[in-house]
Amino acid sequence: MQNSLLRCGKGQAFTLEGIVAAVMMLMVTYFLFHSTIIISPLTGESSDAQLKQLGLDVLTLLDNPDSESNDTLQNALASLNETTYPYGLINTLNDALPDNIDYNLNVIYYNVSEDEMYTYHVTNKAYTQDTVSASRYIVVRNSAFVHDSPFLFNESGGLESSIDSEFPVVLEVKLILWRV
Amino acid sequence: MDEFGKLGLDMVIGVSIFMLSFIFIAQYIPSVFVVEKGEIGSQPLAYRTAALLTEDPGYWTNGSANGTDWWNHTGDRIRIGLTSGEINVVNINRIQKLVNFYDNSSNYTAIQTALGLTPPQKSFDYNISLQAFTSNSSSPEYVTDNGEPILLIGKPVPSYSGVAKYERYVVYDNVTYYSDISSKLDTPNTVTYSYSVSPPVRAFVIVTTGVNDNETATQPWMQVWFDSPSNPKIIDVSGENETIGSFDITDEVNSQLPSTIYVKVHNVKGYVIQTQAGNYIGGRIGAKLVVALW
Repeated sequence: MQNSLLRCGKGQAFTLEGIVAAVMMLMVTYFLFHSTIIISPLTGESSDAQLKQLGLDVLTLLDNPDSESNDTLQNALASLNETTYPYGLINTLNDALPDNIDYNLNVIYYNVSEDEMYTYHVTNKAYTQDTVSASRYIVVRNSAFVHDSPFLFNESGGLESSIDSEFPVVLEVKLILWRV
Repeated sequence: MDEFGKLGLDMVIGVSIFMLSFIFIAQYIPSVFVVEKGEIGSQPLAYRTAALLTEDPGYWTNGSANGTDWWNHTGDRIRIGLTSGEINVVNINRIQKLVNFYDNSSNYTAIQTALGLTPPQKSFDYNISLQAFTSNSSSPEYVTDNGEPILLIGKPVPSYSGVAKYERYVVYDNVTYYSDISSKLDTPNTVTYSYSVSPPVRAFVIVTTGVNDNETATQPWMQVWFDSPSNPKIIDVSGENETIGSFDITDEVNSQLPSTIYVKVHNVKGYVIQTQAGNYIGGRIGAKLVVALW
């Protein structure tokens, strides 16, 4: 039985194929795991937390009502209308955020005439599925807005019964971030 | 002789090799995640350390008294913090006190304890620094003052993986303190100021905060050009609406590499800053506080 086994070419060939196949599978798997960064769910969550933190920090730093700078949230949004793009704010966001991060900046506000919450898309880029968002509420005096600002309260009435130039307008600035 | 048995033997050998490979891989794969697991384990500590430094003024207590000037009580129980109240706004004095306390690593362990990096199971090595917004792990760019990093304490970050890193954006509480150029603009008349620069710079900003106090002066205006008056104006604004504000010309300075910047102003007050201590953001100079633990 043993002699016939050793003499048989067919059986040996099958064994060699098995060895070669197994070694190939082993090598492929080995190199696969060595050359690929494995993103486990936990590392994904932890990097999302970091990304959200960066977004919150950037909004915090840009919330500086005492500054004359045109890149603060207050100054950029006060001068915003259909024709004025907030280049200062956008340039600062581009400089501050890492190159591999893209973002959309939205402003959520109360539209008096429609009596509804509206979202103004300062930027409207296509984003990936895996995004995180960071929000910050800011208060701007009504008189600080340009006359054709989408955020301007230009009607009397409301909870305060009379809306004057000192009326505080609350805006939610939302930064949606994702990796590219 | 029965030749059908050979096929069974081939099968046994093949399956054995496959099983050996499979067992090896099954044992090997968890070890691939070990580094990730270690990193995830220290990530909350990195977050906590960064949060303490950027959101807390610090604390000390000796049991009967307490306060926030932790650098004056390093012999007591202390918690190190860098803000003076407002989160994300670091106090320059506290940064300098931390650097002095570190004292070329002689108090490495004391700071490790003060930051809570010596839990019962394991002590974590650390590296804490202030870096530019554009900095990354492969090429860290430390923000500097007079050529020296403003904050860089701890051991060098090892190149192997397993290092937990957390970043926070901060601004200094004094916008002009770390300026290489800090010049006041204040005139009811027309004055041309000139500044020698050595690009690249992290920030070159002209800030006009208002018109001069002399109320009889005419409307304010400002012109800025590089090197020669015949060169195109970088800034040419007039009237209060256009002239009063901040003008960040860092990108222009770093792309055109001038040796002298001329600022011609009429009836304004404000200041000019050039710094390597960080980037201009929201009217202040900011940097990235990076905490690395392993």
